[in-house]
Amino acid sequence: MTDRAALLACEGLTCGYVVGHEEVLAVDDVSLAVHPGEILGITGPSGCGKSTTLRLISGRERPDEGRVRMDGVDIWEGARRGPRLPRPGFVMPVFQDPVASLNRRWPIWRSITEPLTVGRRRMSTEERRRIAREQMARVGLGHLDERALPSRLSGGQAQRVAIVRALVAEPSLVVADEPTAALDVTTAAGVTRVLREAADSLGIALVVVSHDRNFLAVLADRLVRMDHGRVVERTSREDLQRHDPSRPYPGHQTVDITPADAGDPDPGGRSTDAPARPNPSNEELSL
Amino acid sequence: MDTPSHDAVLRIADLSVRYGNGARAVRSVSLELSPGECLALVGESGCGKTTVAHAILGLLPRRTTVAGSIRVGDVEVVGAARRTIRRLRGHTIGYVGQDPYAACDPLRSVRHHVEEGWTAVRTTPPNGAAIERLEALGIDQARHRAQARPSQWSGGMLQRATIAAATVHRPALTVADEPTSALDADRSDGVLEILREATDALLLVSHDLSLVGRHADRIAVMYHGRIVEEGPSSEVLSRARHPYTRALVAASPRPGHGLPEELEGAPPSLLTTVPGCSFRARCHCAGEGCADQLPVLRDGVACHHPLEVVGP
Repeated sequence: MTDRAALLACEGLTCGYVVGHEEVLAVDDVSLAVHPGEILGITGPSGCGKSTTLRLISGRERPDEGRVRMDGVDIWEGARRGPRLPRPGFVMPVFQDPVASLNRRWPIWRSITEPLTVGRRRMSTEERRRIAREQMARVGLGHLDERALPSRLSGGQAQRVAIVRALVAEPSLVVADEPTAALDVTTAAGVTRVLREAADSLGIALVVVSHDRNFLAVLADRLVRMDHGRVVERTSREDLQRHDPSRPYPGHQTVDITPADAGDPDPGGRSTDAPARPNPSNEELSL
Repeated sequence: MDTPSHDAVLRIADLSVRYGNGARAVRSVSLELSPGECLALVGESGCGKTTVAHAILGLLPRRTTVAGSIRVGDVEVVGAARRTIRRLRGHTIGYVGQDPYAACDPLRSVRHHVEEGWTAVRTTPPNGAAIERLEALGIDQARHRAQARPSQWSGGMLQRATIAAATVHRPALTVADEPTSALDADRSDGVLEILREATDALLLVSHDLSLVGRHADRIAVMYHGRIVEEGPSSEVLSRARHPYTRALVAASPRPGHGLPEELEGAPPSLLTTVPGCSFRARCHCAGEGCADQLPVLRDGVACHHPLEVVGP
């Protein structure tokens, strides 16, 4: 039942890159599901495949194996070129560097409302500015002039403008890659709240990638940890809240592993998945 | 050689730094660091914490005005000749930066980088000493791995190598500027533990309060170039008296504490001098005296209306 309600369901995602003469599996048999109004956090060390996973589940990259279902439909089935999303603007991205992700020559109203103009009717400048003002007020930017250029914004404000731009087309799914990594802790807190509110009040599903486990522990409903392309741990919200912050990853030894001797990821970590039921793929998806 | 504990490794008195563009990044900062102690400087970006670190190392750009005093051991750094400071670096002061990949020559082996701990101070590395240093910092098969280029090392391991290079002569003081912010969270604690063991006193510049709380003995919170609160880590983090420190703690994501609280607004520009308390525009407790009187650091806090500490 949970799977039917899933907005996004991925099974057995596998994706490799060719480095030199060998193929490296960046993502190896990853299965995930996200439901409306839910925030899924993905964490893990650099190079663990979390950003590639995000590209796969948002349809920006085609998996070598596995399925990505949005609203129950496989987005790559029968696809020739791009993915077949349920509708335009179904999934919207938020990037790490808010300043780089906004056009610095555009006033912010233009950046915010740009998604509305893609493949749709023409809108007047007046209407676009009005929409931008309304949207900005929702994330605590009501005091800003919508005609300002991004250079006038602080990092936290710019990231909120980028979030507003992602929300304006009323997406069902927002994917965010390290949305607070470039921000001070004081402003990152505001971005954390805006993301949580998008899930709570708009019912949008979010997938947020971050290396900062504490940030995800307070933001996300569920957390998956990846290592060497695989999901090695799944944590529920209750466990996240109970977690002792001085031990970042339970059951995980703080040992560095060079790419050269990258062995098997901790196989025991997968045992946190619930035992198999008649439909094993569903079980894996719903944690 | 039994020296009393008040014989500070680092003594900064009334330090002020003004950059060539007029930005006053540090404003009358005084600090002391005892042997074996770890002091953390925390605050938002642009609060002056990195400038303090660079001033100690004599790394400020030309056309920078430095006033006050920085004594490392019994050597005065402010106004000292470049040669004097260069003699301190490596022997008496070690430096660990944020990005280990930027610290290493990408074309040379990691062993070469560690050996710079000796060659930079014009000595010849003893045979195999670089490998021993790496092994002492917990790197297995160091002999084999040290032949590799930095890009073939993981960030956490390479940061250990830069620590090895910086602490070859076991400096009395190591300055570490965000040593773990380029690393994954689960590597940070290991790197900091190693850093604390490898050096005597440690000045740790960081924005990560939870990390600082686990590793530093004392914390100094900076805002707009000044220290606004200073004290033992546990006191500062759990019983903060300055409203800014409280806001920093509330903004840090802590599992089990719900969503973090945003601190609205931004610090004033470093080009300007605000009369009174520079934090008052963002402060909920601002009141009498805040607009015209500069709060001085007294009893560990620089605030006209410090918060009451509740509980024992």
